[in-house]
Amino acid sequence: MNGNVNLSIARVHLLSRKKQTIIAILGVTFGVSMFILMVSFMQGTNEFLQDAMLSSTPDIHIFSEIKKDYSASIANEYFKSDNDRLVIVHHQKPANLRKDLKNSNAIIYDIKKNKNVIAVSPVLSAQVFFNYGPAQLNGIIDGVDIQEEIQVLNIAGKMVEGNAGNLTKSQDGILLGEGLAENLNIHMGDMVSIITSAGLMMRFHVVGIFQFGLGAVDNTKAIVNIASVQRLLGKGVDYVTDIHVKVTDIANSKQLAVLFANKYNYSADDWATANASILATVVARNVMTYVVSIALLVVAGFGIYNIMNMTIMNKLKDIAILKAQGFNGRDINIIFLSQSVVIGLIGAVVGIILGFIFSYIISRVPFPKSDIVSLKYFPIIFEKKYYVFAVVFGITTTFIAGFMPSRRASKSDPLAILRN
Amino acid sequence: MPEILKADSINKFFHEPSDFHVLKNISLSIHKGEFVSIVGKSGSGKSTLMYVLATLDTDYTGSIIINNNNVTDLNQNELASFRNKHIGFIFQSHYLLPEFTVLENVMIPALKLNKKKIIDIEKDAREKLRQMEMESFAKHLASKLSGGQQQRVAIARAMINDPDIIMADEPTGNLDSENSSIILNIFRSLTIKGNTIIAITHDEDFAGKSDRKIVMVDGAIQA
Repeated sequence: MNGNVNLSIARVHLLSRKKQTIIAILGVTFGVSMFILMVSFMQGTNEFLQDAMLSSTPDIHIFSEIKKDYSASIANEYFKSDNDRLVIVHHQKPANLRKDLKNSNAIIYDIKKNKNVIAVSPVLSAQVFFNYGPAQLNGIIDGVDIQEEIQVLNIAGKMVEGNAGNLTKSQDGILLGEGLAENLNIHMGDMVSIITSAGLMMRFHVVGIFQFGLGAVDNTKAIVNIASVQRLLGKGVDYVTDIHVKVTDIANSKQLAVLFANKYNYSADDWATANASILATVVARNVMTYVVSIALLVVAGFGIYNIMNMTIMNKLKDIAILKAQGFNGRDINIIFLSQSVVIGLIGAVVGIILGFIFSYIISRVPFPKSDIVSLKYFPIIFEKKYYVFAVVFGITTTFIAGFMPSRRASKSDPLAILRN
Repeated sequence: MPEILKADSINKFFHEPSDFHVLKNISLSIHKGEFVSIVGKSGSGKSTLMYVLATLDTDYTGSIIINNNNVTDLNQNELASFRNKHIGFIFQSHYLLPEFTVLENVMIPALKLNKKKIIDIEKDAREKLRQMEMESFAKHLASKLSGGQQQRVAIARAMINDPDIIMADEPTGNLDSENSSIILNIFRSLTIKGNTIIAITHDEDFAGKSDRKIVMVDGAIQA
């Protein structure tokens, strides 16, 4: 027995029914560790997707959208509808569409003057076939100024083989997506043929293989120097279909996209709009993670509530005798509440240790190969704030779970028990 | 001898299941060093009277003064510390805390009072146990003792804070005649040393050996 008699009594209570105490602790441990595992995994997934998105999608993408409005006709212009005459043209064919951005150099020059912009990269994008021996795959080829483009997209950080800068050194160099290279069975240094929809062909030298982690990009995309694509398509040096923009703060990208779209009269998407479907799954995953994890901790809380209730039912006699001997309601409250707080504390501490160990093990498990995403291991992030949150929530839950039974014990009438 | 407890016109009603006048205008006074037994048939109100006098039951009218303290006006928390300091309890079913050792059971009320160092409290507790010839069981778990042994430990516990009054509710009710006479002898020797004891009992023999017998009939003290 030591100084504080209430805490000594609590300690003896906890130790005299070890099995119950351990089960209650395990309840909290399980809740806390699973919470940590789930949050670390879900946030790891979110972070991976966000990183893949942000490195493969420019902050702002300016392009010329194919016109879908055929209500105006050149016949209308020529014959002039008025009150006496009605001109109707059935089933028009689209006029010769321009996919490129007119006056692209002036637009780029103008965007560069905006102080919120870090880098602007002109891109010429085309649908092509990739040929290697008999293998033929369709995909997209992006002609870029690699010095500008590596500032806009994190290509340099996503190279699995070779180097993005190699493009500057070889005019016929090409960077291939990892999935595309694998499907064609192409390795570094091989030559790959590219055929346009117009039937023109050009051969490129593989100088790098990149992997953004998203199948949609890695399985279809290749990057070459812009001049090569201009030649391939038979266009001039100012022929550009897209402009990629990097901004100082991605939170501003939506605003700036609207500004650019209105100013230059072309379509402009920010990264969030371009990846709306992925971002929607991020929200769904966050909600699910927190609902499931909090449910786990609440269930652990109910376990403690039950055990404390049972203990107090069994100890009503002891409580009565303590009260007769001079312990007041507050003392009784402390005796029982401190028991659940100790259960919560030990459970939470063991829980974060186990949670860390589980997370570490999962983070070493190879991720199954798939077409959607490419990952080496399960994505887990280790972040202090989840551990802090789990401990705080675990202790709060056990405190609340212990509070109600303890209050009942403190209010129990010793007379009713002693007289029987 | 000075007066240690004085009760004045105590009235108490039970309202459940129907209105019942359980204590009828009871006045009594008990002196220091007295060994008083309260006897009566069950339902006569003797337990109710004792729990009122012991401050555990506060639902009464009238006034109780213990050792010059008017306890009628105290709130529940004040009463708890008052009991801790001034009243020792012995119950029929001994009510030791089963997970604690004999020594710890005896020490707990003194630890609650928190007036002495732990080392002195332990010395006191061992001394009280020695008086009850229970010192050799000090480190045993309370639940491992026989009924008579437990009751002797309960007496040691009641004595630990040197209370003004010891209240005993049927202290020999669950004991055989041999253990009963041991307990009775202990009570006698305690009162000789100046302790005051109020005990409820069914045992005529026990009551006969007390200093004074208060007979309860239908909620009133029989003259």
